[in-house]
Amino acid sequence: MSKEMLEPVIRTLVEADLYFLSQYLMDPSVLEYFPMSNMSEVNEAIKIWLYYARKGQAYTVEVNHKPAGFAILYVNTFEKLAKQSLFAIVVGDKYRGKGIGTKLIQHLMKEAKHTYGIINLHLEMYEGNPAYSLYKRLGFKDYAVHEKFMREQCTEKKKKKIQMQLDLREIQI
Amino acid sequence: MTKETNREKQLFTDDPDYDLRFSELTDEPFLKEQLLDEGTRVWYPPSSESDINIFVRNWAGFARYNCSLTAIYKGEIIGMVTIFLMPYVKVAHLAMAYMIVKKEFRRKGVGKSLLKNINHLAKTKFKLDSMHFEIFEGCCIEPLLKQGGYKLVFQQDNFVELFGKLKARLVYEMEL
Repeated sequence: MSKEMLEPVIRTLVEADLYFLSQYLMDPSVLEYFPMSNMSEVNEAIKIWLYYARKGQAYTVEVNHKPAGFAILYVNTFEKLAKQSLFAIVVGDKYRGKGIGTKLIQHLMKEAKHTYGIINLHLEMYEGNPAYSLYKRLGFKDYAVHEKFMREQCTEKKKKKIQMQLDLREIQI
Repeated sequence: MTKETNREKQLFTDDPDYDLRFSELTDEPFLKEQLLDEGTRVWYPPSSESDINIFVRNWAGFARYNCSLTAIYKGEIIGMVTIFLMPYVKVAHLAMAYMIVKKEFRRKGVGKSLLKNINHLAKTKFKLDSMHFEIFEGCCIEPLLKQGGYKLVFQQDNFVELFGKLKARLVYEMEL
Protein backbone atom coordinates (compact mmCIF):
# COMPACT_ATOMS: atom_id res chain seq x y z
CA MET A 1 0.00 0.00 0.00
CA SER A 2 1.50 3.38 -0.94
CA LYS A 3 1.97 6.04 1.77
CA GLU A 4 -0.77 8.25 0.33
CA MET A 5 -3.40 5.52 0.61
CA LEU A 6 -5.40 5.11 3.76
CA GLU A 7 -6.40 1.63 4.87
CA PRO A 8 -9.29 0.41 2.66
CA VAL A 9 -12.69 0.44 4.32
CA ILE A 10 -15.44 -1.97 3.30
CA ARG A 11 -19.10 -1.03 3.72
CA THR A 12 -22.46 -1.86 2.17
CA LEU A 13 -22.89 -0.52 -1.36
CA VAL A 14 -25.23 2.46 -1.58
CA GLU A 15 -26.97 3.97 -4.59
CA ALA A 16 -24.55 6.87 -4.69
CA ASP A 17 -21.77 4.38 -5.54
CA LEU A 18 -23.42 3.23 -8.73
CA TYR A 19 -21.84 5.95 -10.85
CA PHE A 20 -18.41 4.57 -9.95
CA LEU A 21 -19.56 1.00 -10.46
CA SER A 22 -20.78 1.79 -13.97
CA GLN A 23 -17.53 3.61 -14.74
CA TYR A 24 -15.45 0.64 -13.60
CA LEU A 25 -17.63 -1.84 -15.47
CA MET A 26 -17.43 0.20 -18.67
CA ASP A 27 -13.62 0.19 -18.53
CA PRO A 28 -12.65 -2.00 -21.54
CA SER A 29 -10.14 -3.93 -19.41
CA VAL A 30 -13.02 -4.95 -17.12
CA LEU A 31 -15.78 -5.30 -19.70
CA GLU A 32 -13.61 -7.77 -21.61
CA TYR A 33 -14.19 -10.28 -18.80
CA PHE A 34 -17.87 -9.62 -18.18
CA PRO A 35 -20.80 -10.68 -20.37
CA MET A 36 -22.04 -7.12 -20.83
CA SER A 37 -20.87 -5.24 -23.90
CA ASN A 38 -22.31 -1.72 -23.77
CA MET A 39 -23.78 0.92 -21.47
CA SER A 40 -27.31 -0.35 -21.89
CA GLU A 41 -26.30 -3.87 -20.78
CA VAL A 42 -24.18 -2.47 -17.96
CA ASN A 43 -27.20 -0.49 -16.77
CA GLU A 44 -29.23 -3.71 -16.69
CA ALA A 45 -26.48 -5.39 -14.66
CA ILE A 46 -26.41 -2.44 -12.27
CA LYS A 47 -30.10 -2.91 -11.54
CA ILE A 48 -29.19 -6.37 -10.26
CA TRP A 49 -26.38 -4.93 -8.12
CA LEU A 50 -28.83 -2.43 -6.69
CA TYR A 51 -31.32 -5.18 -5.88
CA TYR A 52 -28.67 -7.03 -3.84
CA ALA A 53 -27.33 -3.81 -2.34
CA ARG A 54 -30.76 -3.08 -0.91
CA LYS A 55 -30.60 -6.43 0.84
CA GLY A 56 -27.12 -5.60 2.18
CA GLN A 57 -25.47 -8.15 -0.11
CA ALA A 58 -23.32 -5.83 -2.22
CA TYR A 59 -20.26 -4.06 -0.89
CA THR A 60 -18.04 -1.10 -1.64
CA VAL A 61 -14.41 -0.84 -0.72
CA GLU A 62 -13.32 2.74 -0.19
CA VAL A 63 -9.79 4.02 -0.45
CA ASN A 64 -9.19 7.58 0.63
CA HIS A 65 -12.97 7.99 0.88
CA LYS A 66 -13.52 7.03 -2.77
CA PRO A 67 -15.04 3.80 -4.10
CA ALA A 68 -12.14 1.67 -5.29
CA GLY A 69 -13.98 -1.58 -5.89
CA PHE A 70 -17.20 -3.49 -5.46
CA ALA A 71 -18.39 -6.97 -4.64
CA ILE A 72 -21.74 -8.70 -4.89
CA LEU A 73 -22.91 -11.84 -3.14
CA TYR A 74 -25.84 -13.37 -4.95
CA VAL A 75 -27.45 -14.92 -1.87
CA ASN A 76 -30.27 -17.15 -3.00
CA THR A 77 -33.57 -16.65 -1.23
CA PHE A 78 -34.81 -20.10 -2.20
CA GLU A 79 -34.20 -22.24 0.86
CA LYS A 80 -32.86 -25.30 -0.90
CA LEU A 81 -30.26 -23.17 -2.70
CA ALA A 82 -29.30 -21.09 0.30
CA LYS A 83 -26.11 -23.00 1.11
CA GLN A 84 -24.37 -21.82 -2.04
CA SER A 85 -23.72 -18.41 -3.49
CA LEU A 86 -22.17 -16.98 -6.57
CA PHE A 87 -20.20 -13.75 -6.24
CA ALA A 88 -18.45 -11.18 -8.42
CA ILE A 89 -15.97 -8.40 -7.79
CA VAL A 90 -14.86 -5.33 -9.72
CA VAL A 91 -11.80 -3.23 -8.85
CA GLY A 92 -11.04 0.12 -10.46
CA ASP A 93 -8.02 0.17 -12.74
CA LYS A 94 -5.85 2.44 -10.60
CA TYR A 95 -6.54 0.41 -7.46
CA ARG A 96 -5.45 -2.95 -8.83
CA GLY A 97 -2.40 -4.78 -7.49
CA LYS A 98 -2.81 -3.18 -4.06
CA GLY A 99 -4.57 -5.95 -2.19
CA ILE A 100 -8.04 -4.47 -2.66
CA GLY A 101 -9.41 -7.58 -4.40
CA THR A 102 -8.01 -9.81 -1.65
CA LYS A 103 -9.68 -7.69 1.04
CA LEU A 104 -12.99 -7.70 -0.80
CA ILE A 105 -13.01 -11.47 -1.26
CA GLN A 106 -11.99 -12.11 2.34
CA HIS A 107 -14.84 -9.86 3.41
CA LEU A 108 -17.22 -11.81 1.17
CA MET A 109 -16.00 -15.08 2.64
CA LYS A 110 -16.72 -13.85 6.17
CA GLU A 111 -20.14 -12.49 5.25
CA ALA A 112 -21.03 -15.62 3.29
CA LYS A 113 -19.96 -17.99 6.04
CA HIS A 114 -21.00 -16.15 9.19
CA THR A 115 -23.93 -13.95 8.14
CA TYR A 116 -25.57 -16.18 5.54
CA GLY A 117 -24.43 -19.69 6.49
CA ILE A 118 -23.12 -20.41 3.02
CA ILE A 119 -21.01 -23.50 2.49
CA ASN A 120 -20.21 -23.31 -1.19
CA LEU A 121 -18.92 -19.93 -2.38
CA HIS A 122 -18.37 -19.90 -6.11
CA LEU A 123 -17.52 -17.70 -9.04
CA GLU A 124 -17.62 -17.62 -12.81
CA MET A 125 -14.86 -15.99 -14.84
CA TYR A 126 -13.85 -15.91 -18.44
CA GLU A 127 -10.71 -17.28 -20.01
CA GLY A 128 -7.74 -14.96 -19.63
CA ASN A 129 -9.07 -13.03 -16.63
CA PRO A 130 -6.00 -11.88 -14.67
CA ALA A 131 -7.89 -12.35 -11.39
CA TYR A 132 -7.57 -16.13 -11.79
CA SER A 133 -4.34 -16.23 -9.76
CA LEU A 134 -5.97 -14.20 -6.98
CA TYR A 135 -8.84 -16.68 -6.73
CA LYS A 136 -6.38 -19.59 -6.71
CA ARG A 137 -4.32 -17.95 -3.98
CA LEU A 138 -7.43 -17.56 -1.84
CA GLY A 139 -8.20 -21.25 -2.13
CA PHE A 140 -10.78 -21.40 -4.92
CA LYS A 141 -10.57 -24.52 -7.06
CA ASP A 142 -11.74 -25.06 -10.62
CA TYR A 143 -14.78 -27.30 -10.76
CA ALA A 144 -15.93 -26.81 -14.33
CA VAL A 145 -15.16 -25.28 -17.67
CA HIS A 146 -18.04 -24.30 -19.91
CA GLU A 147 -16.62 -24.19 -23.42
CA LYS A 148 -17.50 -21.50 -25.98
CA PHE A 149 -19.52 -19.51 -23.47
CA MET A 150 -18.77 -15.89 -24.29
CA ARG A 151 -18.26 -14.46 -27.75
CA GLU A 152 -15.58 -11.80 -28.14
CA GLN A 153 -17.08 -8.88 -29.99
CA CYS A 154 -14.20 -8.09 -32.33
CA THR A 155 -12.85 -11.52 -33.16
CA GLU A 156 -15.99 -13.65 -32.69
CA LYS A 157 -13.73 -16.04 -30.76
CA LYS A 158 -15.63 -17.86 -28.07
CA LYS A 159 -14.10 -17.84 -24.61
CA LYS A 160 -14.44 -20.51 -21.97
CA LYS A 161 -16.27 -19.81 -18.76
CA ILE A 162 -14.17 -21.10 -15.89
CA GLN A 163 -16.03 -21.89 -12.71
CA MET A 164 -14.35 -22.07 -9.32
CA GLN A 165 -15.58 -22.79 -5.84
CA LEU A 166 -14.48 -22.82 -2.24
CA ASP A 167 -15.91 -24.94 0.56
CA LEU A 168 -16.15 -22.45 3.42
CA ARG A 169 -16.30 -25.27 5.97
CA GLU A 170 -12.67 -25.96 5.15
CA ILE A 171 -11.33 -22.53 5.97
CA GLN A 172 -10.93 -20.52 9.15
CA ILE A 173 -11.99 -16.94 8.58
CA MET B 1 -46.03 -54.86 -24.02
CA THR B 2 -49.81 -54.72 -23.62
CA LYS B 3 -52.23 -53.25 -26.13
CA GLU B 4 -53.01 -50.54 -23.60
CA THR B 5 -49.33 -49.57 -23.41
CA ASN B 6 -49.09 -49.56 -27.17
CA ARG B 7 -52.05 -47.22 -27.40
CA GLU B 8 -50.44 -44.92 -24.83
CA LYS B 9 -47.11 -44.97 -26.67
CA GLN B 10 -48.83 -43.80 -29.84
CA LEU B 11 -51.06 -41.32 -28.11
CA PHE B 12 -48.79 -38.34 -28.16
CA THR B 13 -47.13 -38.88 -31.46
CA ASP B 14 -50.22 -39.56 -33.53
CA ASP B 15 -53.25 -38.50 -31.57
CA PRO B 16 -54.89 -35.42 -33.14
CA ASP B 17 -55.82 -34.27 -29.62
CA TYR B 18 -52.16 -33.74 -28.80
CA ASP B 19 -50.64 -30.51 -29.98
CA LEU B 20 -47.88 -28.03 -29.33
CA ARG B 21 -48.29 -24.27 -29.44
CA PHE B 22 -46.25 -21.27 -28.41
CA SER B 23 -46.65 -20.63 -24.70
CA GLU B 24 -48.73 -17.72 -23.53
CA LEU B 25 -48.40 -15.54 -20.45
CA THR B 26 -51.66 -17.05 -19.28
CA ASP B 27 -49.95 -20.47 -18.99
CA GLU B 28 -48.38 -19.29 -15.72
CA PRO B 29 -51.04 -20.95 -13.48
CA PHE B 30 -50.17 -24.30 -15.04
CA LEU B 31 -46.56 -23.91 -13.91
CA LYS B 32 -47.64 -22.90 -10.44
CA GLU B 33 -50.02 -25.82 -10.13
CA GLN B 34 -47.26 -28.29 -11.05
CA LEU B 35 -44.76 -26.78 -8.63
CA LEU B 36 -47.22 -26.80 -5.76
CA ASP B 37 -46.86 -30.57 -5.91
CA GLU B 38 -44.02 -31.36 -3.52
CA GLY B 39 -42.75 -34.34 -5.49
CA THR B 40 -42.36 -32.17 -8.57
CA ARG B 41 -41.09 -29.04 -6.79
CA VAL B 42 -38.15 -30.87 -5.27
CA TRP B 43 -36.44 -30.94 -8.68
CA TYR B 44 -36.86 -27.21 -9.32
CA PRO B 45 -35.31 -24.22 -7.51
CA PRO B 46 -38.34 -23.01 -5.46
CA SER B 47 -38.86 -24.24 -1.92
CA SER B 48 -41.90 -22.30 -0.70
CA GLU B 49 -45.06 -20.94 -2.32
CA SER B 50 -43.60 -17.45 -2.41
CA ASP B 51 -40.52 -18.87 -4.20
CA ILE B 52 -42.88 -20.53 -6.67
CA ASN B 53 -44.61 -17.22 -7.40
CA ILE B 54 -41.28 -15.53 -8.20
CA PHE B 55 -40.01 -18.47 -10.24
CA VAL B 56 -43.10 -19.02 -12.38
CA ARG B 57 -43.51 -15.29 -13.07
CA ASN B 58 -39.99 -15.28 -14.47
CA TRP B 59 -40.44 -18.56 -16.38
CA ALA B 60 -43.80 -17.71 -17.93
CA GLY B 61 -42.54 -14.23 -18.84
CA PHE B 62 -40.36 -15.72 -21.59
CA ALA B 63 -43.56 -16.48 -23.52
CA ARG B 64 -43.32 -12.85 -24.71
CA TYR B 65 -40.42 -13.82 -26.95
CA ASN B 66 -42.01 -16.93 -28.49
CA CYS B 67 -39.20 -19.03 -27.04
CA SER B 68 -41.47 -21.33 -25.10
CA LEU B 69 -43.66 -24.25 -26.16
CA THR B 70 -46.71 -25.64 -24.43
CA ALA B 71 -48.01 -29.18 -24.92
CA ILE B 72 -51.77 -29.56 -25.05
CA TYR B 73 -53.88 -32.68 -24.84
CA LYS B 74 -57.61 -32.41 -25.37
CA GLY B 75 -57.40 -28.69 -24.75
CA GLU B 76 -55.57 -29.09 -21.42
CA ILE B 77 -51.99 -27.98 -20.80
CA ILE B 78 -49.84 -30.99 -19.98
CA GLY B 79 -46.30 -29.72 -20.38
CA MET B 80 -44.08 -26.77 -21.11
CA VAL B 81 -40.49 -26.14 -22.20
CA THR B 82 -38.86 -22.74 -22.30
CA ILE B 83 -35.60 -21.25 -23.48
CA PHE B 84 -34.33 -18.75 -20.92
CA LEU B 85 -32.81 -16.37 -23.44
CA MET B 86 -29.63 -14.63 -22.31
CA PRO B 87 -29.89 -10.89 -21.74
CA TYR B 88 -26.42 -10.02 -23.07
CA VAL B 89 -25.22 -10.07 -26.69
CA LYS B 90 -21.87 -11.72 -25.90
CA VAL B 91 -23.60 -14.80 -24.51
CA ALA B 92 -26.72 -14.76 -26.66
CA HIS B 93 -25.50 -17.71 -28.77
CA LEU B 94 -26.41 -20.11 -25.97
CA ALA B 95 -29.16 -20.50 -23.40
CA MET B 96 -30.51 -22.60 -20.61
CA ALA B 97 -33.90 -24.29 -20.81
CA TYR B 98 -36.42 -25.61 -18.31
CA MET B 99 -39.04 -28.27 -18.90
CA ILE B 100 -41.99 -29.58 -16.94
CA VAL B 101 -44.55 -32.27 -17.72
CA LYS B 102 -47.71 -32.85 -15.75
CA LYS B 103 -47.29 -35.87 -13.49
CA GLU B 104 -50.05 -37.99 -15.06
CA PHE B 105 -48.61 -37.47 -18.54
CA ARG B 106 -45.00 -38.44 -17.85
CA ARG B 107 -43.37 -41.40 -19.60
CA LYS B 108 -45.67 -40.99 -22.60
CA GLY B 109 -43.31 -39.20 -24.95
CA VAL B 110 -44.39 -35.66 -24.08
CA GLY B 111 -40.94 -34.69 -22.80
CA LYS B 112 -39.32 -36.16 -25.90
CA SER B 113 -41.69 -34.22 -28.13
CA LEU B 114 -41.09 -30.97 -26.24
CA LEU B 115 -37.33 -31.46 -26.28
CA LYS B 116 -37.19 -32.20 -30.00
CA ASN B 117 -39.28 -29.16 -30.86
CA ILE B 118 -37.51 -26.73 -28.54
CA ASN B 119 -34.16 -27.84 -29.97
CA HIS B 120 -35.49 -27.06 -33.43
CA LEU B 121 -36.84 -23.68 -32.33
CA ALA B 122 -33.56 -22.81 -30.61
CA LYS B 123 -31.56 -23.65 -33.70
CA THR B 124 -33.75 -22.24 -36.43
CA LYS B 125 -35.44 -19.21 -34.89
CA PHE B 126 -32.96 -18.12 -32.22
CA LYS B 127 -29.83 -19.34 -34.04
CA LEU B 128 -28.42 -20.75 -30.82
CA ASP B 129 -25.18 -22.72 -31.02
CA SER B 130 -25.97 -24.73 -27.92
CA MET B 131 -28.57 -25.17 -25.25
CA HIS B 132 -28.26 -26.59 -21.76
CA PHE B 133 -30.42 -27.84 -18.93
CA GLU B 134 -29.44 -27.44 -15.30
CA ILE B 135 -30.84 -30.24 -13.18
CA PHE B 136 -30.36 -31.51 -9.66
CA GLU B 137 -28.64 -34.82 -8.96
CA GLY B 138 -31.20 -37.62 -9.12
CA CYS B 139 -33.74 -35.77 -11.27
CA CYS B 140 -35.84 -38.11 -13.42
CA ILE B 141 -35.35 -35.99 -16.55
CA GLU B 142 -31.71 -37.11 -16.83
CA PRO B 143 -32.35 -40.22 -19.03
CA LEU B 144 -34.55 -38.14 -21.34
CA LEU B 145 -31.79 -35.59 -21.84
CA LYS B 146 -29.21 -38.30 -22.52
CA GLN B 147 -31.55 -40.02 -24.95
CA GLY B 148 -32.15 -36.67 -26.64
CA GLY B 149 -28.43 -36.19 -27.32
CA TYR B 150 -27.55 -33.94 -24.37
CA LYS B 151 -24.21 -34.56 -22.70
CA LEU B 152 -23.14 -33.91 -19.13
CA VAL B 153 -20.67 -31.03 -19.41
CA PHE B 154 -20.08 -30.49 -15.72
CA GLN B 155 -21.41 -30.96 -12.24
CA GLN B 156 -21.12 -28.77 -9.18
CA ASP B 157 -21.22 -30.59 -5.87
CA ASN B 158 -22.77 -29.17 -2.69
CA PHE B 159 -25.16 -26.98 -4.67
CA VAL B 160 -28.65 -27.84 -3.53
CA GLU B 161 -30.08 -29.18 -0.31
CA LEU B 162 -32.40 -32.12 -1.04
CA PHE B 163 -33.76 -34.57 1.48
CA GLY B 164 -31.44 -33.12 4.13
CA LYS B 165 -28.29 -33.61 2.05
CA LEU B 166 -26.25 -31.42 -0.24
CA LYS B 167 -26.53 -32.62 -3.82
CA ALA B 168 -24.97 -31.61 -7.10
CA ARG B 169 -26.15 -29.41 -9.92
CA LEU B 170 -25.69 -31.17 -13.26
CA VAL B 171 -25.44 -29.31 -16.54
CA TYR B 172 -26.42 -31.16 -19.69
CA GLU B 173 -25.69 -29.45 -22.97
CA MET B 174 -26.19 -30.08 -26.66
CA GLU B 175 -24.50 -28.44 -29.61
CA LEU B 176 -27.27 -27.49 -31.96
